[in-house]
Amino acid sequence: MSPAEAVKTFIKNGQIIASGGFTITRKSYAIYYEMLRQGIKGIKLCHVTPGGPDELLAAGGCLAGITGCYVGDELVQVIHPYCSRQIKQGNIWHEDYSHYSMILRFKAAAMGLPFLPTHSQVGSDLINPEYDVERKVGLRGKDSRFPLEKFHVMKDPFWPVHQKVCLLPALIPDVTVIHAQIVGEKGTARIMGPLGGDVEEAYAGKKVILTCDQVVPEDYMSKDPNANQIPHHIIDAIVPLPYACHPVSSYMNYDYDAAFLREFHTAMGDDSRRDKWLQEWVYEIKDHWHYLEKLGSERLSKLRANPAYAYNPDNDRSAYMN
Amino acid sequence: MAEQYYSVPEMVVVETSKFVKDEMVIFVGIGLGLLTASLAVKTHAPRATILMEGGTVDSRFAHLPFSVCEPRSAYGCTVTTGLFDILGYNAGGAHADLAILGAAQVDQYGNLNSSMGPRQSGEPFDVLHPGWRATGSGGANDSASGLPFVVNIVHQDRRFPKVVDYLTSPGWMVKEFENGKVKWVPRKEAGLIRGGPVAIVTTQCIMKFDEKTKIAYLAEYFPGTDPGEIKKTIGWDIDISRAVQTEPPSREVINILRNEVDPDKVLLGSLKK
Repeated sequence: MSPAEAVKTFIKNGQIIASGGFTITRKSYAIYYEMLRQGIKGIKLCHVTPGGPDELLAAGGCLAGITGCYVGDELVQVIHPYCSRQIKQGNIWHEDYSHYSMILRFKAAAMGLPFLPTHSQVGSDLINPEYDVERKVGLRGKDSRFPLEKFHVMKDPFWPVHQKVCLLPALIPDVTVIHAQIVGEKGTARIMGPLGGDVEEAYAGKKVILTCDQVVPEDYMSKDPNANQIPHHIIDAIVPLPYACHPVSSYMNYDYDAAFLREFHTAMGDDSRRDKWLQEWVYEIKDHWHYLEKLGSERLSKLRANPAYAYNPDNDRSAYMN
Repeated sequence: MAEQYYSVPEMVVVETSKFVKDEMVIFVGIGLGLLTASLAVKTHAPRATILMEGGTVDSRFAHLPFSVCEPRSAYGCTVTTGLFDILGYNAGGAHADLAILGAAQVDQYGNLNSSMGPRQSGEPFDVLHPGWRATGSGGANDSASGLPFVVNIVHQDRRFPKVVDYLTSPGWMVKEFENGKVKWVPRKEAGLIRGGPVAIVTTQCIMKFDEKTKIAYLAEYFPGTDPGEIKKTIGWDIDISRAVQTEPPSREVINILRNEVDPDKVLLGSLKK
């Protein structure tokens, strides 16, 4: 289906949305652009790893808050300028966990367990009750999708050391959005390159929207089943689109567009340019084909990956090099 | 004074890379950690293994990545997997030897703050309206909870409070929370049975931790800096009696860093501030 159909069918105001991908890799921008165009509100975003869609959804007025471990796009040290300011001003809440804790929360949900233990976060302010954001904004005990506690520390009952561990509650997204390079007609997904947290996020989601670079017969997927990670029965919507993740990368198919990302980040941090950027690149864009047409064939061709590298070794990354 | 053939950030990379020994398994984040581990692999630790949380093991970069999950991060790697395996099995599960981490603040016990704080350091703050915000933990808390770690940090006095304004990653004395009160306990007592901070490498000096007190002391100061001046910038009564001047890096290692590790200045360029 198209991004517009996928958003219309699955995404509603106030949902918990899990965003797959990892900063500048496999973030399904086409879906998030469409969420802005359809005027989705009150989203509680969660992820193993954030990315530019956090900025988009925040700037588009779609976001209530974020549960995650990081506010930025890597690119050495790029903090999301708009999102971080909204967090400081208290307009968007940010519940803070560690990276592994986030994937563990999705894993618990994926396994149908109420919680899983870790030694992460022990001893830190990540488990300081004073900094329990979801409680402070009134979600605990009111919204049944949120756990009654942020964490629970207990002593291991099994081994003589009785190590203290941190139990983390399952996180069940209403919808998970992920991207894979190759997808079978029924939905079997093959992610190429590092997986980040997408498999856990997909299994955790009540519904899963999967954007992809190519759809192939399931027979093709079964020729190399070791290469596939997510079975078809987990997937609810397949959205095949070229450059669905532009301006970020899809391993083996296309590289990230550093100049576009720089322009995007700069505009998001600048009150006089943000709305203009959103008009130009989101609201005045009819659909993904219109977006690609506006980007132009030359720009897109220069992002095409060289199979010897899985990216374009000649990609111009100067926008983020000093 | 002889002409300085290296920059301060280059010195930080060289000094940090010395903590990477051959055959070690190293967990790194994007930026300086990655540069440091890459230099170690190209010089004295060719059999060291680099882990990145996007899901790669033992990458041999053809081009330095901008992210620990972007396509360049996986070039030459021997295992491609996901974040759960890297942080859960390896960094958290003791199948790694060292993490190299950055931070916005580090305190006397090597606790790191990479997340947020009040307008004025030392004051309480409302988590719904933090005075400043940095990117946050990412995998720093997880790796600091399970591994020995080295910290890289720019040397500015606001970055070295006696107690970090928000404890993102645990050092030697950490927090427990009971009935609305904070109790400081040794790392092991809190449940962190492995790892802990080894050293803090700043743009002026190297601090290590006293065996007994677990408080950071000045171990080395870089050429051109002064231990007395460094002491003025540190938020605790730092012991400088053991400090020796760091040898400048060799021209050879600087050449390898510039010409082989980061010839395009992908990461070196960003460290010039």
